[in-house]
This record gives sequence, structure tokens and C-alpha cells, in this order.
Amino acid sequence: MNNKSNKPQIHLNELISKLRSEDEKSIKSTNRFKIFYFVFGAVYALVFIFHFVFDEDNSWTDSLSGFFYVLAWITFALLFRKANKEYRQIDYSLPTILMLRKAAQRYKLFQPKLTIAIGAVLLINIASSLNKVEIPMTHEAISDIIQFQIIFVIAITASFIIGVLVWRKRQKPIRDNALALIDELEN
Amino acid sequence: MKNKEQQFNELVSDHGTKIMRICSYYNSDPDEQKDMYQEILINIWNSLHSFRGDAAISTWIYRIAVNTSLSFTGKSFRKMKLIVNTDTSNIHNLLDEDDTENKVRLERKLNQLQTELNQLSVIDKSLITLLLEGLTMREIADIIGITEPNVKVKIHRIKEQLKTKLKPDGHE
Repeated sequence: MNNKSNKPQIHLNELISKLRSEDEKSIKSTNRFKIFYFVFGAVYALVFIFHFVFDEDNSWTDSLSGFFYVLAWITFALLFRKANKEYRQIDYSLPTILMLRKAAQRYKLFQPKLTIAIGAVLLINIASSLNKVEIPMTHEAISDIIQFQIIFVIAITASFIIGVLVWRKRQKPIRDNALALIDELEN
Repeated sequence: MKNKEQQFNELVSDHGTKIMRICSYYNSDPDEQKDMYQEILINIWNSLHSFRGDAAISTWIYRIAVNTSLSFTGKSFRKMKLIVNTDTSNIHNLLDEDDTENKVRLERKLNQLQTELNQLSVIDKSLITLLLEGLTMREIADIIGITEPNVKVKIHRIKEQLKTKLKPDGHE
């Protein structure tokens, strides 16, 4: 078999135009997400400030709740942006072992990003619970909060289990493969 | 200053043959070669921003090709075969065969070598590919990201393993 005679026929111009359009699509989609998250965050923050300053019926619990919602929203927006950037910028020109280490890190289940996401989820929990607080507290309000917490814990646990199952099916094999290759390279 | 498209076109025209050769090491099927070649080109396009000229362009291209082949093997690992040909100019690097005129013996060994090479791990296959490309240990170390002595040890180990297996009574 001659290597050179097996030259694959690739239409380079066609490929370049596809790649260019992918680049443009990717930039547009990143910008759309950025605009969506930050405009929405800004609008929510303005509404919160407006209520805080002008709404006389607004209690401190409502203000704090609004503040936590805004904080959670911004945290999710930043996390999403970081993750999006990370997955899009996989650099194949790195030395192999470095690329593999980055892949293993990227597909790890427990990473700093998860801790921050849990923090944001907790902020939503606190914000939603504060919304239900009445001063002085009534039995009905306490019961509402407990009910909300039960539903919240069930929902979060279910989401976590689904997330782990998806990770085990999709990301874990890639991570295991990367770790095995790293191990082989280092030994 | 060159734009991305010009840079890409230049790279493909200068190094396209090299990339195709790497693809042909990994696939005997022309369609799979084409898929892998295209994937390497896509990864070159996506990595162009990271080329700053601090590595030789050929090292940079080989890195992308090897890294793509590793991802590619992830998809169809079991199907992957390392293909070596009698016209592979650097085959003596692998067989330590100084007598290049001894084609008949080389041909005979080739079939057996082909079988043995396909028993190697994906990393060993990558190292062999680079060796068959005529790269120095230093260059292979730069591409893979391990030390030069480590590359030497690994290649020595592969060669020893192949030598043992290629001896007439070498098979277990």
C-alpha cells in the first residue's frame, strides 16, 4: 500500500467555509448567552433596588431574598460562561500529557465549579425561604417553609442523582481513558 | 498580518501530506483516513489561536495529529490498526535494520510486525508513529510532553518487545 496514493479527497474551501460559519455561530451564541444573563441580571437587580428604595411595604426579608436571588443568578451566569469557554477552547496543540491532564480535570465529578454551584443553589433556597417568612412568624409560614424545604431537598437530590448517572455514562469513560493514558505515559 | 484562513491554507498545503501519512498509519480504510484527516484539520483550525511560534510548526502539527488520534481512538479504539508499509522510509528505526537492501527479509517480517504492532497500546502506537516519521527522541518528547529519557526507555522497551516476538521462536 502506498501512503501517498491514498490521499483523502477533502474539499478544503468547503471545509474552511463550514469552519468559519461554526466560528461565527459559536461567537454569536456566546454573545447571546452573555447578553441574556447579564441583561436579565441587571434588570432583576434594578427591580430589587427599586423595591428596596421605593416600596414601603417591602420588609427586610424580601430585600434580602431579592439580593440572594440576584447573587445566585450572577453566580450561575459566571459559572455557565466559564464552563462554556472551557469546553469550547480545548487546545489540541498542547503536549499530549498536558492535554490528557486537562481532560481528566475537566471531566472530574467533584470540582470547584460544583461547590460554587451548590453555593448558588443554597442562595436560591435561602432566598425562597425568606420570601415565605412572616414577622411575627406564624404556624402557616413555618409549615410553608418546611414543605418547601422537603420539595427542595427531593428536587436537588433527584437532580444530583440524574447528574451523576449522566456523568457516569458520558464523562466518566472519557476521564477513565485519559487517566489510563496518563498512567501509561508516566510509567 | 496573515488572516486565519490564509494561515490555515498555508499549513495544510505545507503539511497536508504529513498529516495524511499519520492518518494512514492508523486506518487502512480510506473513508476512516478521510474522517481522521478532516478531524485533524478541524482541530488545527480551532487551535490556530494558540500557535505562537515558540514550538516548531511541525512539532505543533504533530501534537495536534497525535492528540486527535488519541481522541479518535477513544471513539473506535478497538477497530484501530497501526498500518506500516514497506515504503515507510523510516521503518529501519523500528526494526534496527541497517541493511536496507535486504528487502525480502523485511517484507517477510512486515506481516508479522504488522500483527505485533497492533497488539501495542494506543500510546505505544503513537510513539511508533512518531518514530516512523523520523522524529528525534527530543522532538517526540516535546510532542508527548514527557522527558527525553522516558521516551528513550519506552521506545527501547517497545523495540525489545518487538524483537522478542519477531524471533522465529519468539511467540509465547
